[in-house]
Amino acid sequence: MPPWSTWSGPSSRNHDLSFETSTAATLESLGHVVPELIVTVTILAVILIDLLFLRGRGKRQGPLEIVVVLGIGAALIATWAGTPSGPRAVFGTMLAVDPFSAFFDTIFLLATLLFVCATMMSDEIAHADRPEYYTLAVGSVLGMMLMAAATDLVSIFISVEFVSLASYAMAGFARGDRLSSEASLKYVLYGSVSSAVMLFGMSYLYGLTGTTSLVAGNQVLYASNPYPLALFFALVLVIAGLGFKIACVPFHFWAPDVYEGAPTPVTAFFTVAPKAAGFALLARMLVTLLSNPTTGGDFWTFLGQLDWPLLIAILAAGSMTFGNLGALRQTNMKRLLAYSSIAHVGFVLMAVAALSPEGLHAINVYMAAYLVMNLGAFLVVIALRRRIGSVDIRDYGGLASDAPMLVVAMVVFLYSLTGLPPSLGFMGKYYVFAEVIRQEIWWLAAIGAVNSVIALYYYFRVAKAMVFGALGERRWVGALPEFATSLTVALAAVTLVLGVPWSGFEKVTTYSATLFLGR
Amino acid sequence: MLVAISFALLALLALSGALLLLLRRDPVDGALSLVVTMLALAGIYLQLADPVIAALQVIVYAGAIMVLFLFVTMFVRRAEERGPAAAGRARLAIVTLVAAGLLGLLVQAISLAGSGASEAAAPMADIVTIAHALFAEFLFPFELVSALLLVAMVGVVVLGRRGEEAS
Repeated sequence: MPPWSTWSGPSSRNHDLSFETSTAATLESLGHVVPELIVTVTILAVILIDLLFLRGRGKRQGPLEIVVVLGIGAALIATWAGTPSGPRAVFGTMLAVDPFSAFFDTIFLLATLLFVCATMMSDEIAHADRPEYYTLAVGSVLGMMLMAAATDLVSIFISVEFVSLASYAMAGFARGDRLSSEASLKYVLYGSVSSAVMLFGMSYLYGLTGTTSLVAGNQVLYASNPYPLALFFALVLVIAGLGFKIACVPFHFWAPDVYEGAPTPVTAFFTVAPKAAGFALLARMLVTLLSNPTTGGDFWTFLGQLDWPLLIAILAAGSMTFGNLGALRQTNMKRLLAYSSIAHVGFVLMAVAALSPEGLHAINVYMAAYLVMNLGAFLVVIALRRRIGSVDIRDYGGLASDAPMLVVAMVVFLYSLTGLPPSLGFMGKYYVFAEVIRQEIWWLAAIGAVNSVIALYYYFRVAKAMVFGALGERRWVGALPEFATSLTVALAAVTLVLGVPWSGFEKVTTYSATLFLGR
Repeated sequence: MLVAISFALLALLALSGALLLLLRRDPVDGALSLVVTMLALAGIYLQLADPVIAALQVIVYAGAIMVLFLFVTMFVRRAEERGPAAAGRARLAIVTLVAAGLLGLLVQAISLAGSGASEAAAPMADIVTIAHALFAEFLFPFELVSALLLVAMVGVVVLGRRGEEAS
């Protein structure tokens, strides 16, 4: 007899459920997703304002950015002002509202605010295209917020596709740019295949558990797991699909081309926000579905004989190593940061492989750090592109005398990306390594340490080019965007100040490691 | 006996449709053989006494999705381009290996499941059950899909407009 025929948990189909009760439950659930609702309204507001007020008139910077910033700001306030009544499930078993999802929502929303700043600095997005551009960006943010909260295979797949579809179009936004169109096309083709692979794996998961809910599926698999091989196969397919979305080795091959071809503000956004969403989903899915429900406290153990943490650890080691080795030879700044983002994916996966609440804490710290330092670095790249018309490191010579504050900020970001103390990047690495060592995964810690040294080399190659590079025959193509210097210096200050161990930061990130597990 | 014969016929039809899809070089031929597979599957569903799923299979897959496939292939097809080039030997070997592994896994899963699984099969999906699932349990994803379609539509408009400017 298959396992699901005997099990009747919270998600077993209840055909007697009257529509009155389900309506009441749905309305009650709506009260717990106010930030998502605000973001949805923002999507509509951008479309409507464009249709009603901006069509046919000269497009200027201003109204759209204000609407987006107001909407995202309101969602940000709602995320933290709405007092969470503890982790809980909403819309049946579709979503979980918990501190973990609230923390990631904050990361996505802050990334969006910085993304708007990046767009305003850049000249790569034509003003006429910006209404659609912001619609897609805010739409992808809604998808990410749902990815971080999804606890059901159906909501997981739809939210992942939400982000993917918006991303495909955003990658192709540079007008008349062949690289950008190529990036978009590659992204669509590889992305659809990876989605199909993930969905195929999910169909196996459904077949094995008889439920789409992760919590209920965990209980079924804990009670009996008669087909470990099929479960392993399903897991590999799902991890391959998600691995593509976060660009971890060996599913990373698309990333450098797409990141190089996409408009720079979009690249900046891609390297941070969708990746954070992918990690939130991966960590939540693996822990909820495939950890042993009877273990708790400081350690979780994996379910049955399915050693998925080892699988993740191998992916982590591969991502760090190949990402860093790929970055060594790059001279295009966008490509270099693309490879470096693959390496950072490896570091975060180390924390996922640790499989513990403390590991989730490390993910939180790392993603917060990565948000500030990586978007900071990209803002500098975007600003300099306006000045020198290039994103090539060899053109960065002599900038120290031209834009000293910008170069100082960039050096701080690179320093932090390397992970040296005191910086946010160091905090992220510290928590990850501390947890991996506590779990006694020595080989992974050793590979991570070697990779930190490799990273030092290529990040400082950039710093060296900026500070000591010869001016050469310089042709300035324009002025720096107005608020570029103040914004990047502010972010650099945040990078350094939060790099000092501080109890408040620790408290927020620890609290945010609380997952809804339905146990 | 009659059931077994009709199942065998439908299965044969479905498999030959799938094989033709892989072997025909012309994408339109491929799409049309896929229709055969889809219809045969609908027949199998009908044989399982599940008319709703069978009807959905015909409407959604054999109908809507196939029209979309054909539309796109005919839209982008140029006279001189007859489908993708033959795959290299190395790639063919890898693909065969993966497919063989998958087949082995499926055979193992089915043989392990034995006869118990078919008896405890999911309840028949009558239209009321589907409505309950769609508008109660899965109401949230259902609504989410409409937001998804809106965003996807904006994306398509953007990419479509790009093509117009280029030409």
